[in-house]
Amino acid sequence: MEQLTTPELRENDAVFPGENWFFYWKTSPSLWEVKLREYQGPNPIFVPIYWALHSEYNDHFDFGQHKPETDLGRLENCAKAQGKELIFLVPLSPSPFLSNGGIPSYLARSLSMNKEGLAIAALDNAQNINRIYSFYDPKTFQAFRKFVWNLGQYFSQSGSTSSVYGLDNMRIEDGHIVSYFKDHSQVFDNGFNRFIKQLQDSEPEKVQRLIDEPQYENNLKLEYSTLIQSLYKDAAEEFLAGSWGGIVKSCLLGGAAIDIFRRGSDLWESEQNYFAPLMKCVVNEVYPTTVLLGNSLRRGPLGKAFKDIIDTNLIRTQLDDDYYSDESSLSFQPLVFFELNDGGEGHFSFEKAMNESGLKYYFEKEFAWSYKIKHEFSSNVEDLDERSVYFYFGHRLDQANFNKVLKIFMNGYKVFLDIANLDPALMQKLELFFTENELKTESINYISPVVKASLGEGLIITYDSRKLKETSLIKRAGFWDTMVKFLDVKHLKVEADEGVHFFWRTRSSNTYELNYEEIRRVSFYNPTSYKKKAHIVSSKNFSFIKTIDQVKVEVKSTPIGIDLLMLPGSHVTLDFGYFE
Amino acid sequence: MRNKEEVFLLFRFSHNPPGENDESHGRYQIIFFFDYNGEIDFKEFKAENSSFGQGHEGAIFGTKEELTEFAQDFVVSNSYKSLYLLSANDFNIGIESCHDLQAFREIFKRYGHQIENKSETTRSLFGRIF
Repeated sequence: MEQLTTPELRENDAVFPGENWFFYWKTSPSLWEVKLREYQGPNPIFVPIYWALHSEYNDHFDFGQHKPETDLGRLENCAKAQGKELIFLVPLSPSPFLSNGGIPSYLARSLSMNKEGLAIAALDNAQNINRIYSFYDPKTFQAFRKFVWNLGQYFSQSGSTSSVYGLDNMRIEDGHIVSYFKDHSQVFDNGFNRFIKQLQDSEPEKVQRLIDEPQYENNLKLEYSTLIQSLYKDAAEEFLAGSWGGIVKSCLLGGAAIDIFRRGSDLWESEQNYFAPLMKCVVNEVYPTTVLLGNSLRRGPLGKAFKDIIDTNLIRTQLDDDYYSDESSLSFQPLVFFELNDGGEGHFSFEKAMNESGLKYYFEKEFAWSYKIKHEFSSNVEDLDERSVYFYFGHRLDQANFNKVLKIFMNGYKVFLDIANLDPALMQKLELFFTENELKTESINYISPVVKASLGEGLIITYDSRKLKETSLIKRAGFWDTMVKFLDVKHLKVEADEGVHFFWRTRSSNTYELNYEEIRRVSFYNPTSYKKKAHIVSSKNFSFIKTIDQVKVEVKSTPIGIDLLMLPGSHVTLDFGYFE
Repeated sequence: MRNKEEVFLLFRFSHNPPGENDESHGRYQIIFFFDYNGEIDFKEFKAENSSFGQGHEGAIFGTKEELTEFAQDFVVSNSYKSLYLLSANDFNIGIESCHDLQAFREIFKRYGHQIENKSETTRSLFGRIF
């Protein structure tokens, strides 16, 4: 039936709290189809499953048998009728947008704590405080197993064809992306102590090492945490095997402890606070979302940035949709020049490593957000991007991963290897590798000893971050500037006032753009209350094509580049063609 | 312009790491320090006030008295009307019964220790007389 009245603004709708998320419990099931029909955002639609709604008390499960709002089959049929694809998300960690983090109230017993000993809570977009309870409580895990078993039975009996993914909810705390699964409460400590007791029988050498090196406790805590998290994942994967798709890591902006204080004050809260977290999520391949934030923050440049960045393509990438990725080169993807990799065991802080070596400062200055951080080694060399430059940290490499680095180099990729604390045996192996393959090496001493070797298209540059750490930030940036010049990275330099945010994306050229190898797109946002300027410096390999979505921005093309005069709350996107 | 009505300090107590030879049993560490405009960089304040440089390392205080003294001096030198001092334990108790932002804002006032700017009170009194 055609709607005769003006539809309510979707942005104000609690059912669609942000991006492609659909909160089915926020409206009557009789309105599900209408709401889905009105939805015009990116696909597929994410539907987090509200555990507590389906299991109000112990051993009781409802999937539409008693309450119509729990009928996920009906929801799926509504979506199908409207030609919309749903992805059901089973929370594998507490969900801060739900009361008690989404767990049934009979399980809400032990509050999760952050490393400062503060109870973890989050402010949702309706200004409710949602306390987070520990997933390390054995009773919570037992109940979760029963829940996902019943959910799996329901999906298979109802003939559901929608995919189900595990949802790992995350937040940015002190600059680090952390899962809501992480907990420092007494419940965690109790479980950890039981784990240590078990280790005494199974791996006594680890317990001995813990006695000898108290700081080894952090590694064991991480091991225990990973083990428990994998139990949740394995249970969900086993019982939902027929429709299991994998895991979506989603970072909820505004979910940090400090954010409750910040978001409670009109003088403090500003959309400016969320640009860097948004970009950080993209760089770390974590799916960012504004579902915790209020609508007012999403009306301006921040909302525009989300609409620009979160598209169907990015969602499919999150879902590891191989079928789709073949088609994705013609859609805009984040522009990535550098990829930082770590495949080592235990905790590793990219943030710290990047800060100490000066890479973070250098990237922010010259290649803002045009890099990627990977916590796992790419298993397949063929999956690597020949344009990217790969960074590896020597002290995180074991024999197997070290061999992979050499393989990547031999396959024609560009590699930076930090030799700080590299195992001496591997260091010897590297030297032997250069000699055996008769590789011509060049050695210089510029802040750090630097060795450069090439083989065909492949290039490997070794450096020692310990030496860089001893110098000033400016010198470190100078070091990276010199190193990156070797690589001849083709990029347009941007000079922007403080407070202006910009983000690069790229795609292959299509049949109408044969003059270009690729199309580079840069979007600028000014969320401040002041006029701001930005300048894109001309470069011989690029030509300006067009401006898109120009709102309150004056764009002036000059022989030395493009000048932008940005009014408060403005945004603009510019396309450039790149040619050899 | 900064709203100087109230300032909030959230701290935690932690025991000294084993092996650390210190007369005190633990330390008081500032977790969050903020007013309605945002987080407060108290390091600047510390640098300007040499008396606070002694006995403290960063945001860590050996005793609660030292922390309270820091808070009192901060309120006076920065002309805030009052400061609410709240421990992480009290925050955790407060949050158990809080469901919305309104109640959350009250945690500091209900469970915290209020430090008033006495010089501010005196000035107001004078202001009223003259």
